[in-house]
Amino acid sequence: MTFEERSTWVGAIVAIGGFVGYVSALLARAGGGDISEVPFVDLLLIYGIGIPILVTIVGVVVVTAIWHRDGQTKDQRDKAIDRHGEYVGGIVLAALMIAPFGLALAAVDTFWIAHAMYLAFMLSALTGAIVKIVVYRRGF
Amino acid sequence: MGKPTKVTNNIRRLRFDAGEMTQAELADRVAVTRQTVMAIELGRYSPSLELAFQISEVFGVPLEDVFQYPKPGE
Repeated sequence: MTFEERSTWVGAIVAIGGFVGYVSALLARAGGGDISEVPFVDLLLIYGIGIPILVTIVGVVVVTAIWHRDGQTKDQRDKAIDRHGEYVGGIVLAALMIAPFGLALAAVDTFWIAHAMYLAFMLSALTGAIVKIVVYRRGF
Repeated sequence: MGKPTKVTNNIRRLRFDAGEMTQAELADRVAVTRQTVMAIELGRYSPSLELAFQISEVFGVPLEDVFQYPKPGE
């Protein structure tokens, strides 16, 4: 497994972990009440964005340290797979962004617009990572 | 594990003929990862034309001795 593939695995796992962590924190704060009334901005910035970025950095550093003998070369196959994954992820993002756009046009509460956007970003990143992993495993 | 490319190759035999050159050695010679050499050997990745020429250069043989593509109807 190349450095790029391992980094992709880290990104995919962190994307799922970050989402689960954020939703858990949000539900805990809601305490069974109306979730759309919960102040979410700090939780989203911390659990949805901040911690995942930090964990990704730490994860890549750890992966690099464990498999340091394999080096960090990014060759033409890695770049081609990366482009393919980002392309598919971009399509997913464009499609999913229709939802928050529609919610905004319908003047729905900011809570739902923000979460539709967050979900779109998370799912596009996850889809891109999964596509890359599949291509790494099955061929390109 | 499928083979998404129709391009076949003789890299494994050529490595053997070249003093049992390892995949890692070939990878170093053409500046790619060992995993990319392995993917090419297994038919899971079609290298760029430039990389294909570099690989044939390493073995000192013409490109068609390294890579083959089936003729229409085969």
